[in-house]
Amino acid sequence: MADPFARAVARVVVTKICESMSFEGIQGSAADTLSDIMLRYISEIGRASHNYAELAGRFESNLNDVLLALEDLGTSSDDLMLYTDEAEETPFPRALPSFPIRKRPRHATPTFRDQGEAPPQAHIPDWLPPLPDQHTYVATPAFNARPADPRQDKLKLGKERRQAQKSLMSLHKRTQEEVAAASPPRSAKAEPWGSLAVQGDEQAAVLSGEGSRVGSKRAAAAAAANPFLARPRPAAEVSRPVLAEDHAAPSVFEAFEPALRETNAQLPELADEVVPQSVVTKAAGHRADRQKEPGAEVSEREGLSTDVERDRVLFAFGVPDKARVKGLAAKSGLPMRNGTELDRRKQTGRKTITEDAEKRRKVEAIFAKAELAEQGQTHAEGAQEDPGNRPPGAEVI
Amino acid sequence: MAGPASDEVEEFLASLADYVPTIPDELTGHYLQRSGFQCPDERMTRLVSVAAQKFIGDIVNDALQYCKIRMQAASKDKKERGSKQLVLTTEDLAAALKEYGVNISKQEYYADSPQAGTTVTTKDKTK
Repeated sequence: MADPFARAVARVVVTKICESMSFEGIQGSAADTLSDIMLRYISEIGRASHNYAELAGRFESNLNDVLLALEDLGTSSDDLMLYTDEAEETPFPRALPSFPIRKRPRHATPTFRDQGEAPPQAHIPDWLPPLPDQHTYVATPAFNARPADPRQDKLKLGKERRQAQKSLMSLHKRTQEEVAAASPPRSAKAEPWGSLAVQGDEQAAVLSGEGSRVGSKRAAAAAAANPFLARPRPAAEVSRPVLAEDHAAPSVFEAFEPALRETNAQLPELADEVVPQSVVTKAAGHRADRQKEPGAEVSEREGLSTDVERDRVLFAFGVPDKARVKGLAAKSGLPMRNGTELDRRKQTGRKTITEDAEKRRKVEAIFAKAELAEQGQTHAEGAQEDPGNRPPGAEVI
Repeated sequence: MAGPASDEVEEFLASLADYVPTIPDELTGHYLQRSGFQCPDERMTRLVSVAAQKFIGDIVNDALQYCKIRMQAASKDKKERGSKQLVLTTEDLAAALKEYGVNISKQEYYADSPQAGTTVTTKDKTK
């Protein structure tokens, strides 16, 4: 950008000189030519004087170099003196800034020297930019501020273990209920808890059997022939998800069956109590109800009074078994103070003082076996050796 | 060859501090710097400015003479036209520059448009 500016300035200079020479106008091409010649003349003087300075072994020109260059170009100091005496002084009309404008040096990154600090290492020169702040690259180990308390840790561990047991129990309850509702009862051979289930069936039959005596055979036959004549079921029962009879839902016990068997072998005194009694009782009872359908149940329904048509079906998960058994007992009129307790005593004949401890041991054993079954294939292979003894849901994938 | 700077030259240089040439020092300094000239003395720049100004002034003076001669010749042919402005033309400048060893000539023609000369004229077609 400096060159066009300089040429424009030279044009003005040339026209000024022409004006001072009593010219009244100038052609554009003539002004361009003259300004070109003038700039060329200046450059020529500079080049020549620089050459003379270099010839003399200097890099800065002095007066003698300039005078010699002027002589080369056909003028002398005497001519210039005459000219300055004669020619009138016509200064440039306006003040010029010094050009070309030098770019300001870029804002350089500060160095160690600029910041007045010494480099951290001896081999780092101080003209290098400083290192970033230490906290940006120095790793500091982070420790847990909590003090280690072995007693608290042990308590927490125990709490977590209890929680795991509780959740497993509830899961088992839920799945077992669904499976019992969906699948037909298996033979006692196939299931280690089969004998308990049979007992539960008998009990459930006793509980619900009294209604069938009062039933009218005619109505039952009609209802059996025409399902549309049957009385509508309560909404709660209708809304229950009906599973196919032959399609057994996956059960925790089916999945853990090998582990359970192992546990039974290891803990023979617990063989009958692998499954919590209340769960089996309830599930078996429900199964028995299902089996009676449609004929027996219809007759039972007919025979019941309008006030208490059937036992209340509690479908919400987590409803305690006690409530269900109590409902059954209330309907059947049996004196059941504590259903689960009575049942367990009746079936096992054992006191349940150490029930909780046994439960815990059982569940822990189940956990351990399940983990083993998952991790190692050896157990799965062992289970495959006797496929007849394995329920269909316990396929090891 | 001129000897070392005499007292006259020193005086002349001292007087240059007061003389302000038409060529600004910035312009001269810029072109001197471009040509490799290096001098801490500001008077050298001014000296070069004066020299360049004298050079251009001599050329313009010569061109002025040529212009006046041409105008006198023109006024002889066509009277009643004496009050013509003095305009520095390229022809006069070329004539003046010949004495200084610079050969310039007025361009042959002006291109009216960018397409001038590129299109085939009717003359060329007939040929």
